[in-house]
Amino acid sequence: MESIKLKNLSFSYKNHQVFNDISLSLPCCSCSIIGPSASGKTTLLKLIAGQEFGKGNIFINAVELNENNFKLLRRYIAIVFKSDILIKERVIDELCFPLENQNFSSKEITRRVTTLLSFFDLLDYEYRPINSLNYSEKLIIKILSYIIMHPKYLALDDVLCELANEFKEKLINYLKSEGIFLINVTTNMEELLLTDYVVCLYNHKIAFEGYTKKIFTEERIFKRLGLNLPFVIDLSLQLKYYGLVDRLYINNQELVEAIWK
Amino acid sequence: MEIKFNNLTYFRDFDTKWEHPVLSKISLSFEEGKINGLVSTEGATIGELITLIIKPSSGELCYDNMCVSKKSYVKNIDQLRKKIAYLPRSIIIFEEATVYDEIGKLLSKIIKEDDYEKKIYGVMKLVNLPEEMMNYNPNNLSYSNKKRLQLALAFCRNPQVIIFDNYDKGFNFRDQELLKKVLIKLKNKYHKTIIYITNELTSLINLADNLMIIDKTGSLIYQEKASFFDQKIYFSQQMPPIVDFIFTCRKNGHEIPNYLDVKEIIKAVYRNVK
Repeated sequence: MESIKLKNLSFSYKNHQVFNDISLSLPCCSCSIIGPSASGKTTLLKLIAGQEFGKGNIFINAVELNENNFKLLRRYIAIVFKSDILIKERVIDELCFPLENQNFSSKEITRRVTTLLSFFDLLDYEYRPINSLNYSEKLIIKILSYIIMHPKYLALDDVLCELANEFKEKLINYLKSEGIFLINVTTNMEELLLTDYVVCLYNHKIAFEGYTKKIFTEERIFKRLGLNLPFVIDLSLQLKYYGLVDRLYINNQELVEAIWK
Repeated sequence: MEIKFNNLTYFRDFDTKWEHPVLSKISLSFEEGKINGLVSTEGATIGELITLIIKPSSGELCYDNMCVSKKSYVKNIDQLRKKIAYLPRSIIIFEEATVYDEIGKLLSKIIKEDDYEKKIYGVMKLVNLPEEMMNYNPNNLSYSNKKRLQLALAFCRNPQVIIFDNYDKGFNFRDQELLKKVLIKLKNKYHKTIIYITNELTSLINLADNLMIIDKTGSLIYQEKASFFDQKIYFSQQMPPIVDFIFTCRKNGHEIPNYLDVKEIIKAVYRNVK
């Protein structure tokens, strides 16, 4: 089953071409989008969000995206950009706003808000004014205001690295328990281990795609494109070259036990 | 220029129900001509304090000989701000139509001669911004190139102190290496004071001379010369993966020296096993 599908997509900013005839279908699992700088990672999300329109077709849940229906289709995919701003006065207003827009009953709204805030240990923040939060707390509230609508996909544009570590772990756990898939645009390769599928963009096209564990075995491509590998994978690959271990490890403890058998 | 905090406290939402200290009773010094790494989530507040957009709630903020407290009046505040550059976490919106105009407009105010064109190329080369980008609209550049342009604009004023607030977020591996080279060049060749604020320790490895950590409650936990193998640091912070590996080796009874380079670690492991 495929839920996001791009077909023969091309896009350019005036005289600078970003995509040249790419086709892609994301499977139903969490995935990462990587690539060197200026390879079009953010632009790809903007196209899916309906902020920009290029030549070619984009299908979300088998419905073609166009200028009339992109607002409806965004209920399936919540996209958080770094430059997003909060519009309301207090935290609770910000969380209620998307639900009120969709005519939910007040009982349902309070239930969803309290369960979400208690899961993330943020009940003290309920009535705090937005101005008194710092940058990463504002981003957290922005993400929560999207999650509360129960979308099918949550797409983050290099946002995970800005968050505090405790919140990052809680977010991943919450997404897994609710069955929301993560699309993570990232430059930090350590975050690849959080997702199941990887898509790499390079030079107006898709360089490679595949499941995470299989992709790490082809480390030459990573090096050729100027990308590094996660530290544990990189170390176990080099140790494998010296004959100290016989396969790749994604955990420090397992790696240490395998070296000194 | 050396900057010191003397018993400094800053309250956010002062005199309201939500009043809470962002910085509480902090005494530290950012040394001149060195890279000062600071781990804190309140980078913006520290940047605003140092550029005197806000004043401390209590305590003092000292620049070389001049000290500023809550009620003191600062003469020639413009002169002071010209010496300090603050690079914020978010991207600013650029005004001009091309990158060339954006840098040229600022340089033409500072340099009176007409031959500032060479300097534009020089600044772009220093921050690794490709020359093809000269005629692009700055608002259409990619995230990392926008940040480089922001750094280039900061260099034009030739400040003594540069504050980086989570600057390397969104940079990939190569960009980070290039940034480190630029920072070390700034330190060694031009003797600038650099304050590098970040929320994780990984980006300070092989870079920072001094290390300071401010925790969630706003108090200073650690202030010493940077050594990443001190257990005291990791009560509140997550370990960088390279340090985590060495500590797990030691937990299992295998002694490996304090290395911060992957190749050295592999050699050490090889020697230990064979």
